[in-house]
Amino acid sequence: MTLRCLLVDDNQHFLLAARDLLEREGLTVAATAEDSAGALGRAAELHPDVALVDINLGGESGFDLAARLAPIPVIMISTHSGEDYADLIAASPAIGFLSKIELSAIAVRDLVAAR
Amino acid sequence: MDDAETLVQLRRLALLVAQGVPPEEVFAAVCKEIWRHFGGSTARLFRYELDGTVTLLANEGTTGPHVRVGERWEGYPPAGLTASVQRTGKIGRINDFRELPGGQKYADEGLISAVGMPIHANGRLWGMIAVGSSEGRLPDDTEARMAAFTELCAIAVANAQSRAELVSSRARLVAAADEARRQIERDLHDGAQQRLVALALRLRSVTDADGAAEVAADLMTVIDELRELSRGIHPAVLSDSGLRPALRALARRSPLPVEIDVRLDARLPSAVEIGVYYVVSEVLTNAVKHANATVVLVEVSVGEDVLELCVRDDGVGGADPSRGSGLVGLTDRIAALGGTIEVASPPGGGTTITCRVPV
Repeated sequence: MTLRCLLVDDNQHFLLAARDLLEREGLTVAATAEDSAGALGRAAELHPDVALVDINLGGESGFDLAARLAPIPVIMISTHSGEDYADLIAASPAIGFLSKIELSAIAVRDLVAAR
Repeated sequence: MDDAETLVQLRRLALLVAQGVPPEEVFAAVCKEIWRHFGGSTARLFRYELDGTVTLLANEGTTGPHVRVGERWEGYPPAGLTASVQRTGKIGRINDFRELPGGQKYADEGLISAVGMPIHANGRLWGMIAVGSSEGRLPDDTEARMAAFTELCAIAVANAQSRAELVSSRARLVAAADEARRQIERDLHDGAQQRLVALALRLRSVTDADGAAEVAADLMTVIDELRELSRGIHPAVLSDSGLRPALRALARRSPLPVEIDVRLDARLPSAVEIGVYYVVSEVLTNAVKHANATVVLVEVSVGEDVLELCVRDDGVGGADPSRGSGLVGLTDRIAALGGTIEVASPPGGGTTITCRVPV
C-alpha cells in the first residue's frame, strides 16, 4: 500500500520540488499546506499516514503543529542541521527528523516502519 | 559661603557624574547644591528640548501645583525667566513676581524674585538654572556668583547627559548589529538556502534536458539573489575601490536620478568610507520611499581633517530625525566615528542631510 503523506512547509519552491520527488519515488502526497491552520484542516479531511512538517513555519512552530496533529505520525524536516534541534526533536511527539536535502521516499518509509 | 565649601560641593557633583549614576540623580543633586550654595528659597533646573518645549528636571525649595519634576514645564509667562532665557540665551532676572503678568502662581508659591542662568552645552542652549527668593529682591551680585558656580554645575549636567546618551547609543549600535545579523540569517535561510534545497530535490528527479535547463535557469536566479544579499552585507566595490565608485554604483541602482560629486584624492579609513556609504544608501532609500523626490544630490569633500557629506533631495521634506529608526541608526553610526549629522527637512522644502566626520 502506498504511503499517503501531508507536506507542511512555508516555502512554495520546496513544496513543489518535494511533492514532485516523493511522488516520483512512489509515495502519494495527499496534500500540501503552508501553515498550521491549513495543515490541521487538510489532516482532518484526508487522514494522511504521515505528515512531514518543517520545524520553522514562518512565525509558527513546527513542533507545536506536530503535537496538534497527533495521532498522525509526524516527521520533522528542516534545512537546518538536525543536531541543532536534537533535544527538541527528542522531546516532541515526532517519530523522527529528516534534513530537507536528504528527503526521499525510502527515508520516509523507513521512519514510519521503525516507529 | 567660602571657597572650601564650594569645592566640597563641586567635588560631590563630580563624584556623582564619575560614578555614572542616572542623569536624573545628577540633576537633583545639582539642584540641591545650587539651592544650598545660594541659601535661597528655591532652585530649579530646566532643559530646553529640541522641539521647543521645556522640561522641569529638578526642584528644591518652594513648590506649587505647576511644579512637576520630570514633566513638561507649561504655562510660563512670555516675560518670565523660562521664556526670556530661551529667547535670548542670556541671564534673566525677575525682581517681583507680583508685578510680572502671569507671574501670580510663582508669587503664590511664596517667591518674590528670581534669577535664571542659561546652561550652554555642545554649542547650544541646553537648559536653565533658576534661583528664587522669598525674602525679597535677590542681591545684585547674584548673577556674578551664579555665573561662576553654575558654569561648573552645567559641566556636571552636560556630562551626565552625554554619558547617558553614550550608554544608550552603544546599546542601540549593538542591538542594530545583532538585528542585522538576524536579518541576514533569515534572508539566507528563507531565500537562497530554500531555493537551493528545492533545486537539489528537483535535480534528483530530472530526467531530460528540458528539466536540467529549468534547474540551471533557477540556479541563475539564486546566484543573483546571493549577489544582492552579499552586496547588502558589504559592497565589495567599496573595499576594493573606495567611496567614489561605490557611491556611483549605488546611484546607478537607484530608481531616482542621483548626481554624485565626490571630491577625494585618496582612500579614507574604512570605517569612515563605510559610514558615509550607509548614510547615502539610507538617505537614498528614504528619498525613494517617503520623500517623493525627483532628484538627489550627493556631495562629498574633504577639508582640513574633516570629511563633509551633503545629501539633498527635492522631495516633500518633513522628515523627523527623532522618529524612524533609520535616522537614529545613522546618527549613532556617525557619532561613533566622532562625527555629527544634521537633518534639515522643512515641510515642502526637501530634505538635506549634512554630515561631518573627522578623518
